[in-house]
Amino acid sequence: MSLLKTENVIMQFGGVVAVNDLNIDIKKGELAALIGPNGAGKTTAFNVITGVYTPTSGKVLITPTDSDGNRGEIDITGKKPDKITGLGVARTFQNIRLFKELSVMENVQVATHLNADYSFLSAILRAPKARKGEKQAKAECEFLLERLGLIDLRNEKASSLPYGQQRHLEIARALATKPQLLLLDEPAAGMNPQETDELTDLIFKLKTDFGLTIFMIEHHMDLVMEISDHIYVLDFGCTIAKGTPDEIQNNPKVIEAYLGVDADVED
Amino acid sequence: MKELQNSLGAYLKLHWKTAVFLVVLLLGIGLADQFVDSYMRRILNLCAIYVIVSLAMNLVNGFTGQFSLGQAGFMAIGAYTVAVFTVPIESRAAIFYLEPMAPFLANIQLPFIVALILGGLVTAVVAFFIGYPCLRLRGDYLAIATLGFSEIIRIVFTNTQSITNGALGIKSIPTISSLWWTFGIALIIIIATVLLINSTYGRAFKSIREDEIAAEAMGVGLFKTKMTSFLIGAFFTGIGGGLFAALLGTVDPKQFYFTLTYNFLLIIVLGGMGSISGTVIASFVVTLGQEALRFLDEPMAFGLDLPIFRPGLRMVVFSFLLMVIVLFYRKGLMGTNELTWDFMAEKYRALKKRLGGKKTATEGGAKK
Repeated sequence: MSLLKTENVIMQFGGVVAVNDLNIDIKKGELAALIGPNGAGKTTAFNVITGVYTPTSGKVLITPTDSDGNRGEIDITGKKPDKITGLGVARTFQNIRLFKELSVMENVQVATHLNADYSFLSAILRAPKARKGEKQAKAECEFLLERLGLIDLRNEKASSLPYGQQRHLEIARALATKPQLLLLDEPAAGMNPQETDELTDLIFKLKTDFGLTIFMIEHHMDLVMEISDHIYVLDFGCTIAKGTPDEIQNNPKVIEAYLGVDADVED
Repeated sequence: MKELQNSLGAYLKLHWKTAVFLVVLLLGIGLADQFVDSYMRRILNLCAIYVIVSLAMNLVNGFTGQFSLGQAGFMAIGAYTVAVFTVPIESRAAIFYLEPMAPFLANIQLPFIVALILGGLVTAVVAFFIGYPCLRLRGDYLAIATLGFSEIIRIVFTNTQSITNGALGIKSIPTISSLWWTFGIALIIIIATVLLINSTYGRAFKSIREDEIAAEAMGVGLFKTKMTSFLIGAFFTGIGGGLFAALLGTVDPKQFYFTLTYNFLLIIVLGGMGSISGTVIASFVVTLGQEALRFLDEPMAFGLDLPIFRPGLRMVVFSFLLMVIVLFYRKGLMGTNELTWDFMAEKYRALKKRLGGKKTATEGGAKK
């Protein structure tokens, strides 16, 4: 059963075709990766899925499970990012986009706003419903911060955190929206091998504990090959390969894209 | 009932300092209301109104990060609503002597508080129609549109003779002189803003200020949230305008030039974009400061005929002082901090430490 599907998605900026005929099919509960050389259109693909860009043509479909346990396919092409997040698709950003002046706790709390079912008037008047909602959201946020090892830093400004923890905070914030599909845009960028190992474990654990489906862009090949179920390879906007890690590693086209044409050399 | 008592008790235990402060503040207002002269009363009332309008402006500009410059126009709507609906019916013929008041309005007179709230609501409705196209755009469009709107409102009010009495303005508005009206409402609005900012809506506002793209990706609807902030701000500004009309007892379009907006912009920049307490402090500093420096405008200050003490010097000195403050406090007096008990305790500790350190180094250091 697929959770995310894109059908012939094309994203053009003037004469530049950033994403050309993207067909992705991600099953519920799997961990898929999107790889490719710099400028291949990976982040653009993410931006199309999350509604930052409306594709020039093609369709983005998701099949989330609603609160009653029913599933139905929803066309999210061209929907606003906040609506798409509301349907269970959360993301992190390649060049960290935290709310810098807000505290760590507030950063996560912002992401619970979409589940707030009370009006601003009851929020001002601190009506019982608003109190209950705030309390519950706070508990959820604390749980997430605990889970990602940030609970002791909850009152720090987000911009004062070290780089690695800012990345963790981005993940915590995305999880606070209660996603079913989590898009991670280069979660291990700028991390050393040890940190990358830890992150690999963390992503895998989060996936099982929260019942997530994960789609991630990543350049660290050990990470990708270790935990992905499926890999999509982009080059100049086109999908040049898709398959399991083993298939991708031995695909001549992929080797060519990464290493150049005369690729006889071992990795 | 018992439960309520318990929760109230728990609340007081946690916030007893704030509760004591509020009681002292209310006593202070009560005392001031009894004993100050009419000049001081006028200035204090003006301070409270400036607190209301600046706070509303800071909600939109400082907390939500949307650059709106429509304060004067919004105030005008609130002020005129109060004026039109509270002027005694018997004196209307004398005021509207060029052209009689429009028949559908001529016989309606509302109590002050009703007219005041109506003023806020009308302002919010007008704000909705400005915000609807403008808040969808990113960047400075809102600033330009609201600035333009503010001028349009002034010109419309100058020309709708049968409703606003045009350039003649409306006189004999029943005035309020008690400090309770202005300070009471200011207090309510301050508390409401604090509660709003510390709720999930306040955090949504701030997230938009910090990063629109991330906010949207976290499920914060940009348009809806910006609109909420904009409308609440407009409502408060309308209330502030209504109080302004009732304080002066007269409204005319010239009071609402866009220079009025810059007064509030000055206050929120000085106090700190995104600080409620900073805005309150700056409102008093600016309003009282402009009055305190009035002696500079008088040629015979200190009993000497000094050549530079001429009308206008006040604003020169005042502007210079502002520049000095902004130079030393880049982000305004408070930045995005709030004057909470914790904040003060921290500052006090830091000050004590600094003074203690100096004491050991030089003997006279303890003075400051």
